[in-house]
Formats: sequence, C-alpha cells, structure tokens
Amino acid sequence: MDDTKNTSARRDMLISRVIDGEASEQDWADLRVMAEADPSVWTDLTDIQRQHRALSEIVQNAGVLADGVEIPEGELLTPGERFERRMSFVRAWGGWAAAAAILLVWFTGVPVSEKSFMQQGQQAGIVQTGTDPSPESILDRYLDVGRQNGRVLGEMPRRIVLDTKPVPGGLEVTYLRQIVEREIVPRDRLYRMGRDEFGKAALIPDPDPLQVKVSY
Amino acid sequence: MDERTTAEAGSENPGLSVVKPPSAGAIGADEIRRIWCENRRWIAAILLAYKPREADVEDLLQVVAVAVVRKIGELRDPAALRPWLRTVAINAARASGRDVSRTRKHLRLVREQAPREPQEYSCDGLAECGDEARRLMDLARTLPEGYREPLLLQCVRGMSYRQIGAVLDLPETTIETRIARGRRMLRELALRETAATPTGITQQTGA
Repeated sequence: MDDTKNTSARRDMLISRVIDGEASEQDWADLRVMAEADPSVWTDLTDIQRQHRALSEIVQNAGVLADGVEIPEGELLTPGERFERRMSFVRAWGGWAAAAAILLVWFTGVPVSEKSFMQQGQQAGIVQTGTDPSPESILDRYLDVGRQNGRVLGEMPRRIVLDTKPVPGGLEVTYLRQIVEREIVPRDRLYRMGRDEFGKAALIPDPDPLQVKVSY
Repeated sequence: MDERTTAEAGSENPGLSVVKPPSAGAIGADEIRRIWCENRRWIAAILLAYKPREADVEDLLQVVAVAVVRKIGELRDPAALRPWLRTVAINAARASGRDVSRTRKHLRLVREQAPREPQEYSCDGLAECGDEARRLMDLARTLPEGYREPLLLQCVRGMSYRQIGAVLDLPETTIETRIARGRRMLRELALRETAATPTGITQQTGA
C-alpha cells in the first residue's frame, strides 16, 4: 500500500517537473521506465500539461491587467502636496460652479438665489416637486417615478465615503449614493473593453455580447 | 528568510526580483513604485486564488496598491516584504468576498421588485479567457489553500519554486510537492466533473 502511494507520488512529481521544465536526465529516465510498465503516464502528462496551459492563460491575463495598475499618485503625495492638489481642485470646481450659475440664468431668465431656486424652477416648468424643495424630496420623487416606469430598481444600502473634513459643528462627508437603474440599450451603442492594434485598452463595438460585465 | 536569500530568489528572473527590500519607515515614492511594479504580477495570482468569482481582479489590484502605499511603513522586517504583500492581497480578496455577499443579499431584494429575472453572468475581468480555462479556474478555487496558491503562482511566467517559496515562506521542496499534488487533485476534480456532465461542458451559472 505504501509502495503504491510512493510510486503515485513519485509519478506526480516527475510529471510536474517535466511540465515546469525542471526535469533532469534521471527524472526523464525514471518516467520512461514508469511509462513502459503503465503507458497511462503519457495520458496523465498530456492532460495535466493542458490544464497547466489553461490555468496559465488566466493567470497571465491577470498579469497583463496588473501591468496596467499603477500606484495611485495621490497616495504618494506629502501632506503639503496633497493640500495644494485639493486647493487646485477647489479652484477648478469654482470655475465650474460659475459656469453652472450662468447656465441656470439662461434657463430661468433670472438670477438664481438660494431661497427662490425652487419657486423659479417651478415657474419655468423645470421641476415639479410639490411643496418640499429639499434635495431628499426631489430624489425620492425621482425614485418613485423611476420605479413606476421600471427604470429604477432600487438604491444600494451602502454609501461610499469619498472624503471627510472637520468643519465647525461636525464633519463634512462627501459620499456616493448608488441607484440601480435598468435601460434598454440599442445594439449599435454596445461596446466592450478590448485592445487596439497597439495593444492599448480601447472600446470595441460589440452588438452581440455573449458576456456582460457585472461589477458588483 | 534573510536578505541574501531574497536577493538570490529574485536573481533568477530580473522581472520578479526584489532587488533591495525597503528599510522600514523610510520608503520613498520611487521605491514604492518599484516594489509594486516588481511584484504586482504574482499579487494578481494571489488575488485569483482568493477572490470570489464576481470580484474584478483589476479593482482588487487597485485596492492592494492603495493599501501597500498606506501600510508599507508599518513593515518592521524588510525581509518579510513578499509574505506581507501576500497577506495584503489575501485580506483585500477576502474583504471583497464579504462585500459581494452583502451586495448579493441586497440585490436579491431589489430584483424581487423587478418584473423580469435578470440573467447572471460571471465576470472577473478575464472574460477573454477560454471556457476550458475558466472552468479549470473555478475548479482550482475549490482546492485547499495550501495547494491552490502554489499551483497558481507557478503559472506566473518565470516564477520558480524558490521564488514561490519566498512568497509563501515555505521550503522549495514543500512547494514542489504541493504543486505536484495540486495538479493531481485538479485533474481528478476535472475528470469527476466531466463524468457528471455527459457533454463535458458545464453551464455557466451565476453564484
């Protein structure tokens, strides 16, 4: 019984060495002797080699993905550099905020003040939200209408925190809310991630996808 | 594993070498970038060994990259770099497993409200791989950890038994034995599965 076990273990070891390119002359000689007594050694070798190749395909694809993942530069910044970057972000968004205000004026025809925003919106026929002008009530209405017409399936329970900073009276939290929606996408708008002729990641039209990437 | 052993292990393949392990507490940005570039390929293999099927390898690699930057200063023994990187990767993969379970539970609730049953697909960022490869990977994930890890690390191009031993903190001979046994176990699993499905083709079912 022990002999059989040992022979089987030795056979596995020799096959493994051959597959990994680690077999010595002696290993090859031993394997040939085994195969003379039991030719199924060669079937084992080819089957296991095929399996190794298939697994290597996946592992090496993961390796290619890994080559594309860099250390996030923001994480490598010193506190001073990080502060400067945040400030430039705020400056950039300051510009966008101004642009957004101009857009609202164009839509509503009058300058927007924080207090009268909803009233003006209703007059212009942009939003109909009842009497409560809070963002929560507007979002609730969107969820309700979305559920009714089948577009919104629900909201994920977790909110992802992007940033926090202490402010007088508490902590300012910037977070992400995730709403699950469903939409019918025309086939000419379906793409998949692939690689172009230079091996770079690129979007490729894919009107008939076999697999759909789910990221949850 | 002392520093000499680490350098030796790396010297077999420049692409996988850890030329000089970092000294704790004083690691510059360039050093961290270098460590990441030299180790990320086998880290991806560790993630494959531990992640749930639905989790995306690329997303997990990003999580590991951030964790490496934030925590590498806590590494007290520079010679333990590779086992430490492995632990960071395993933790990231397991955490994503917990997230997937929670999300699945909630999505079931959401889907109960949906008028049609959505079709589920498996995707781990490796959709371009063949069916046979994906089937084998699913089977490999069912192997005990001690066999699964060396088996997948062996598939990283150019990684020797000695380098795998340096990652898993195990002797070279143990690695060799486990790879050989792991392959045998995988083959038996594949044969059993093929015998159970007459066509030899397994249906892809969402978890």
